[in-house]
Amino acid sequence: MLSLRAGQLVVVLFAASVLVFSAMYLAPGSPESFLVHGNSVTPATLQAIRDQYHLDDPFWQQYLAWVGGLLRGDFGQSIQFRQPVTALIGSRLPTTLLLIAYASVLIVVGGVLTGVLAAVRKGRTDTSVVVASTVAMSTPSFVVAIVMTSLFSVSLHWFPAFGDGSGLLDRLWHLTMPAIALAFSSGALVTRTTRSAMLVELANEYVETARMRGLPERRIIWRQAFRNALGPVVTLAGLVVSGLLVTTTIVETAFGLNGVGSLLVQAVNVKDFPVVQAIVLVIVAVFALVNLAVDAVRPLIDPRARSVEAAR
Amino acid sequence: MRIPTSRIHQLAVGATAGTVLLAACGQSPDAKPATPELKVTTVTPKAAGDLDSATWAVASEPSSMDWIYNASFDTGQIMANVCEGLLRLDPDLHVEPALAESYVNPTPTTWVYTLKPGVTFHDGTTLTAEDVAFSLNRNLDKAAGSFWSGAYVNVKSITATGPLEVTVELTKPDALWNSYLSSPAGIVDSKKTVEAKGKAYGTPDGGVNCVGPYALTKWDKGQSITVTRDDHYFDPAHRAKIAKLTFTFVRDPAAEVNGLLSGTIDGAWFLPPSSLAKLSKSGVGTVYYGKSTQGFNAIVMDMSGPLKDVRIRQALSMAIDRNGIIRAVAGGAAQPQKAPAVPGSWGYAEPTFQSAWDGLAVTERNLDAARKLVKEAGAPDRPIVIATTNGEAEVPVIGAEIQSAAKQIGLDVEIKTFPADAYNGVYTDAKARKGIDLYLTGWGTDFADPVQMYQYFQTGNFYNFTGFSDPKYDALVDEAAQTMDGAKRAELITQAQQIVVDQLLWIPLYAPYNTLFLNKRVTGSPASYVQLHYPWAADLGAAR
Repeated sequence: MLSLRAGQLVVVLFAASVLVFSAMYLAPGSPESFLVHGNSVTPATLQAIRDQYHLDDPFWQQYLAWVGGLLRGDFGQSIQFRQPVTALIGSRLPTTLLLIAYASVLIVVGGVLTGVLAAVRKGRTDTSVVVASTVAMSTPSFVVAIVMTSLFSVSLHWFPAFGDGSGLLDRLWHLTMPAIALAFSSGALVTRTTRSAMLVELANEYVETARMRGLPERRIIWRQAFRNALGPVVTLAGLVVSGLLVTTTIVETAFGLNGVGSLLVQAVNVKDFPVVQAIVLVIVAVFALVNLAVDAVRPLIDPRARSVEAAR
Repeated sequence: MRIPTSRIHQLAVGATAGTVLLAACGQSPDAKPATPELKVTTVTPKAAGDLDSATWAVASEPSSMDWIYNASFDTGQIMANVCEGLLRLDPDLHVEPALAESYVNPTPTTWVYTLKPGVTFHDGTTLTAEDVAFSLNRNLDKAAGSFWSGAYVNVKSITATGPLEVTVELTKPDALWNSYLSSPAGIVDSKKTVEAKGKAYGTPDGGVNCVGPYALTKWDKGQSITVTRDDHYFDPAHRAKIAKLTFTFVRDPAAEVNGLLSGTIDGAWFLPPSSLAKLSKSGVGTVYYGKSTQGFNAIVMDMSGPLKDVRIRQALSMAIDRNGIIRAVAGGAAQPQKAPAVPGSWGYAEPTFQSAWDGLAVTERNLDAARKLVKEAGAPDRPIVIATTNGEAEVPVIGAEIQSAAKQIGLDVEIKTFPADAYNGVYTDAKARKGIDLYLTGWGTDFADPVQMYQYFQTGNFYNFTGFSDPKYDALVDEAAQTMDGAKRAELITQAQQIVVDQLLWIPLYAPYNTLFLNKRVTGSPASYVQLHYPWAADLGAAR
């Protein structure tokens, strides 16, 4: 089972890399035009730059050279920064990972709690949660970013307007607004899913039975209904969290964070092939791994999924 | 060098703002100057004293601090304070000696530079003529691929002819040569360090070793570069007043403006035009407008299509509301542009350039004349294609403005939007230029001499996209480039300018001022466009 999934992962990574490589290759323009910035250069100079990065080699040769390097653990050299790609990504990865972890906690904890609250309390609480989550779901992260910076950093000076800070506490302080912006709409999605799953479960007969048997309400909600409602919530959370890696590009840019996402944007704009390739590969790998993890967890929380697996 | 146009901050928001502004500018009368109250300054008030530290925003991280691989404005701003060359530009945009003590031009093709004695690199070693010859010669090394090789096309040899003397032999007289040495093309670094570090030179791990008021002391990858005062710097007049200056990389213009408004950042060059009013009124600091050598043009890419007839190009130029564009995209901080080389680039014989400029009618708005020209020439059978990109905030707005201007005189314009990477591709890739009639971009000279700009239109020039060729024009520019006397050079180059403007190979739009924001706690730097050519941060200090 696991080896099958690993095989699938390799195929997906291969397909993604070929796709990105050919898209970058076929699009017009080349990195050296960006590098020289309209300076008066001689054609010999442009040729020298093209030679330095083997830009004139045929497509398959460039691709094979890149794959070859990859197998040796070498992601290549950034055209733009004249540094190894691994060093570039490595220095930016901590910021992005911390941001994603922070946002994930907000999404999962915040989303689940409000969802359960709405389903259990019903009435006014439910209505307000539904309205608020509808608004939140349809608000793009960059709008949240703009509103929050002008309110909390420019007017109130509570949070810094940009930058990633240094040291864990300072970093968390710097990342609070970005994490909220990142979590905003996905958190609302988790809220809504939790709410509907909980409503379904709470309407079930076993809940009535448990109540009649005099079990404490809190125990019924969390140990019984919530546990049964967890299936769709975990699946969604897995998708949402792995998707954050893509959304960070917007949030990192808006808050001036120097993470992998903003590096990707910079690299795409100047056709820095090696950097784009490496980041896309990392994103695809993370996406696949998170989904693998979700699939592995599901049987643990839902016996029905286990029996489906066994029946295969 | 092309100018950085403001980076777009958020796609949707940028687009709406653009539409609103455009609607506003369409109704305004076009005769009034864009912003009459705007004051253009050369320098900001002198600093009162030293500062322990300050933070400056740059839009991107340097690709390399190796001077031959630097064509970026963001890198250049930092570099000018860390690595100097033989010459620099003063705030009036005149060439002045930096590492050189003096220079002579004994024959039309020979330049001899005498170095100041006792100048030391950041590591304490002494600067010699060997270092200078090595540094300049690196631009001639084909395998190295210097981004400034264009400055060295007429160089025959560069040799150290004494412990403190460097001689440059040219293949033909070149009036631009000395000016180029004041630009990033003329930076001098330590031969020993460059050779020892090899490929790592100029990277965050290798660093740089050169001469300047500040030394590069910390490069926090992806985050910031910190420079500190070099106490051994040779020039007391440009001793750094700030002990520690941090250049922080802020890619998003909105984030940059928020940083300036909240006081986290003390200053920045090239402000996003949409923020000028907000920053001016904030009370946090002051926005300064300086002279600049940069302009914004609609470059004709194809002269075989709908823009084939010069009358159509002229009509389009006369239909454009340049003041409207300035209000919409430059926040008023620009002047209408009438020729590819802007007034800020008139480094000599200014009256000659001014009177030539005043006579350029084809780049002034005249709808009736424009309609008449279209009628005479007949409207082209297919629409004029203007390339735009959402990667640069002003470009789509300008494209739309030209489109509506063309409509008024019966010309059909089609806008084609490209992603940023494809948009940049046109410079080197003829395939990328295909199907584009007009291309919008900022471009200017590296120093105050229009000759550099007009060389682009000579037969066979790399940036002569349409393949324009006129022997009379080529001869005029060649002669100007070989004429050392400023008055005579101006005579020649204004004649060449007349040809280019009559032909409208580029349709000039506006000449943006050099914009600068300083928090009220700092002052002293120049305001003119010398941030790549002069150690401006050394003059920056405490306001009180």
